[in-house]
Parts: sequence; structure tokens; C-alpha cells
Amino acid sequence: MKQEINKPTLDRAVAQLPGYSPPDSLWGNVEQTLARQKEEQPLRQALAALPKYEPGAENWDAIAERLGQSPQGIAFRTALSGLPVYTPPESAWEDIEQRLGPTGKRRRLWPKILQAAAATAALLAALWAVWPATGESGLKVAYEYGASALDPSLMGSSPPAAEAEGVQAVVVAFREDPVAQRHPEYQRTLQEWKELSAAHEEIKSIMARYGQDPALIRQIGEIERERAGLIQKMVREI
Amino acid sequence: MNAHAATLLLIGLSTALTVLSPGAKLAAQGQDLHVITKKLEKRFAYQSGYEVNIEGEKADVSIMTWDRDEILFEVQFVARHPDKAVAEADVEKMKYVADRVRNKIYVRNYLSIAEGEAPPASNMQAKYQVKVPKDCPVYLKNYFGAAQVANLEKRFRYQGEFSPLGLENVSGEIDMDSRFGDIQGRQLDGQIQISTRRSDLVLEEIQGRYNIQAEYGEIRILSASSGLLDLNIQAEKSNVYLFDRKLLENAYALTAAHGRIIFPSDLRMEFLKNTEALKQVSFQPQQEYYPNITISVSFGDIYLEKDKNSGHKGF
Repeated sequence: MKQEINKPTLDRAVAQLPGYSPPDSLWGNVEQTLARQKEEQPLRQALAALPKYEPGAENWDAIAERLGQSPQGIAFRTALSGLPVYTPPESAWEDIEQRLGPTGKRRRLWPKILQAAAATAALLAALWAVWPATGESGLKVAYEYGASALDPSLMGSSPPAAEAEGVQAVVVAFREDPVAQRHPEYQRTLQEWKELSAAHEEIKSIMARYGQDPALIRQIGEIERERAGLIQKMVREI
Repeated sequence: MNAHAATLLLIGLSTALTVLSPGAKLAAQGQDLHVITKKLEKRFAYQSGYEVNIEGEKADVSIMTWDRDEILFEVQFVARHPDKAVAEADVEKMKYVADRVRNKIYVRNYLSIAEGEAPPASNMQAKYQVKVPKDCPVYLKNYFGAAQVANLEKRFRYQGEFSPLGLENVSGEIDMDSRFGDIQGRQLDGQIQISTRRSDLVLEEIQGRYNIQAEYGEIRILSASSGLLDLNIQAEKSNVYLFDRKLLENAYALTAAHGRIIFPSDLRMEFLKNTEALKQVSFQPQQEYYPNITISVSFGDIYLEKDKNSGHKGF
């Protein structure tokens, strides 16, 4: 029988290895851990036996509402709604597609390309939004200060006097008068009065917004002359 | 008239006169006003097919042509007030939009007053100086402003309210609608459509084809040129005046309901109807080609005369 090579040498080396005994406290720890696991066993089993529970959707809505009403939430929403919205021109997408190249390469590089495309689109959109169209100048603004001696009573927004009661009394009397109602131009006269009164109100409204000026005063004067003519006509036909 | 009506008449007239005299309180006072003018300028490159759309409010608009492929808008906002700070603040309330959307160039001014904010205390006004190529179509809307238009050759559309309009040497397709705003045109030529209400219309040296509807406003054709092809007028509560030295070279079909037809004696009209309520006459000239003039008026008169300076009394 052939003897294993170097066996005596190995036996000697093993015999010379230092001995090691674990500390006594280790066995104590092992026993304590085993004992705790045994004590916790019923608790673990009870936890595993608990039914699963998903919170209702209304809980999340309530949380979202509370967040929305908080100062931070409001500030966030305000900032969000104030963000500009840009729609990139079609040429931007065409440009992106050309740069993406064949489908296989696009798939492999997708995350990076997506980032680059988004950045390019945002840049192009921003430029497109703020840059004037080809051949279009930007808006030039300048101010000039001067003085004039125009009548200051034309300033302000005070409209002409309100409708006089007497005028309305004539219109009402004409409208209800049986003799006037038989006149062939009865309806036309009332329509003319309505049209001129509406025009009168329009002029007053523009005066209230832009102030009075000679042109507006002339216009309202003409309207009023025509209305006076109608009033006289109504009185004659009552 | 009974006593009640007489009382109402007195009340009505006296109160009407009170209302009718807004100028009475406008006695001149010699105080200086600060005049702040904000000037804006914008240019667009012009291409065939573009159209300019202007929407003015309280704006004096001047549209002229030039020999450049470019559209120029020079806009002024003017605020007048005795207090400089007030005028400065008010002039900023006038807003302006000038944008090109596809082939349309939109320009608009308006007064921006926030809810609950008082209107400007200043006297406010806008002014437009617009220069376009001759073949650029223009569509003008004007509200409580005024406009002057010259030398356009392709298309001019107009919609105005309380805004007088003057046109000089405008040709092509012309379509105008005015309410409470007089129109004066000289040397218009092309296909012309005019609709007016409570606006007077004065045309001179007319050429081309005209279709005019008018209510509550006078129409005066001061002269016709040899290029006149057709003139069709439908009017209500309006008098129509036509002056033409070559009056005998036109064909006429004239109708007046509740009105009169007045013409020179050498114009041998054929009377088709001649009653108190309706008058109808017609005339055919000798030559082969002639303009057709059709005028129908209700509650108004028709006047034909060769020379506007020797016209009827009261013209």
C-alpha cells in the first residue's frame, strides 16, 4: 500500500496548531437568544395572521387637500401654474428624429437621447417663443413729453347728465297713447328712439373710459339733436 | 293737441335742451395739460398673400402705401391730464397687440382696466400710422376713431362704428360697413360694396361697380368718371344726390317710395309710375355701352343734376 505523500509532515503541523476555546459567555448568549426566539414565537405568528389592510382613497384625498391648503402647498401650486407652457415647433421634432438615427441605436441610447431631446426641445421652444419671426422687428418703445392748452374741462370721465325725467315722460306717453299707436310711423318712431338712445349710452360709455374730447361731444350733440327731433315728433302725435 | 300734450311738449323740449347741450359746461379754461405720448414701432416683412387686420378703439388710423415689401406700424398712445403723474400712469393702461399668425398680421389697441379699478382720468387717444405695399389687403375695424386710407390696390374691408372714414385712390375689392360714421371717398375703382346706417356717404370720381345700401343718411355722388360701370343704390330714410356732367350717357331705373325724383328737363325720362306714394322712371341713352344706374329710395328723394355747383337749393 502506497503511503500518502507528506502525511507525517501534515500530521505534525496539525498537532502544532494552537488550541481555541470559546469564552463561556458565548454559550450564555446563545441560550438567551434561543430563549427570546421561543418567547417571541407566538407574537410572530399573531403578526403573520393579521389581515392585510389598504387605506381608502378618501384618506389620500384628505391628505392631499390638507397639503394643498398649507402655505407650502399654495406656494407650490402658484409657482406651478405660473410656469410658462411651450409647444416646440414641428421642425424641432424632425430635427430630433434625424439625430436619433436608426431604431436599434435609438433603443440602446434611449435614456440619454431622451434627456438630450427634452433639453433641445425646451431650448428651441424658448428661443421660438421669444425670438421675433423672420423679418419681424422687435417692438420699439419711446416716450415723448409735452404740454398743450386744451380745455381741461374735457378731461375726466364725467359723462353727460342723466336722462331727464321729462324726456322719458314724453316717450312713455307716446308709447301708451292710443292716438299715436294708430299713426303709420308709430313703430318706426319707437325703434328710432331705441337706436338713438342706445347710441347715446355707447358714447357715454366711451367717454367714461377715454375721457371727453371734441369729436365725442360733437357726436353726442348730433345724437341728441336727432333725439330732440323725435321727442318733438312724439309730442305732436300724442 | 290737448293740454296734457302741451305740458309734455314744454317739459320735453326744456329737458331735451338741457340734455342736448353737453358743450355748455365746456367753457374754455386756459390751464396747461401734460401730454404724454408713448410711441411704438413694429415692422413685418411682407409676402404676397399676407393681410393686415387692424382693430382700433378710439384710434385715428392712417393707412398709406409705399414701395417696400414691408409693413410698418407706428402707433402712439396719448394721455392728457393736468397732473403729469396721472397722465404717465394712464398712458400705460393702453395696451397694444401686433402679431403675425400665419398670413394675417393682427394689430389691436385696447384699454386695460382691472376689475374694480377706476378708468383713466386722462383724455386718452391712439394714433396709427400704417404703411403697406399697394397690393397688401387691409381689413380695418374702428370703434370711436377716424381713418384715412389711400392708394390700396387689392382689397380693403372696413367695419366702423362712430368713426368717420376717408378714402383716396383706393381700388380693387372694397367692402365697407359703417354705423354712425360718415364715409368720404374719392377715386374709388373696382367692386365696391358699401353699407351704411346713420352715416352720410360722399363719393367723387367714381369708377367700377357700386352696390350701396344706406339707411338714415345722405348719399352724394359728386362726379362719375368714364370708368363707371354700374351704380346700384338702395336707400331708406335717405336722400340720394347724383351729379354727373355726362348725365345723358347713363341708363337709369329710379324708384322713390314716399319721395320725389328730380332731374334736368333734357333728360327724357319715361314715367312708369307717378303716384303720391310711388314714383318710377327709366331712361336709356343712345350709345351702345353705358353705365346702369339703379336707385331705389323709400322715404327720401332722388336728385339728378349735371353740375354740383348749380344744384338744387338746399344741396
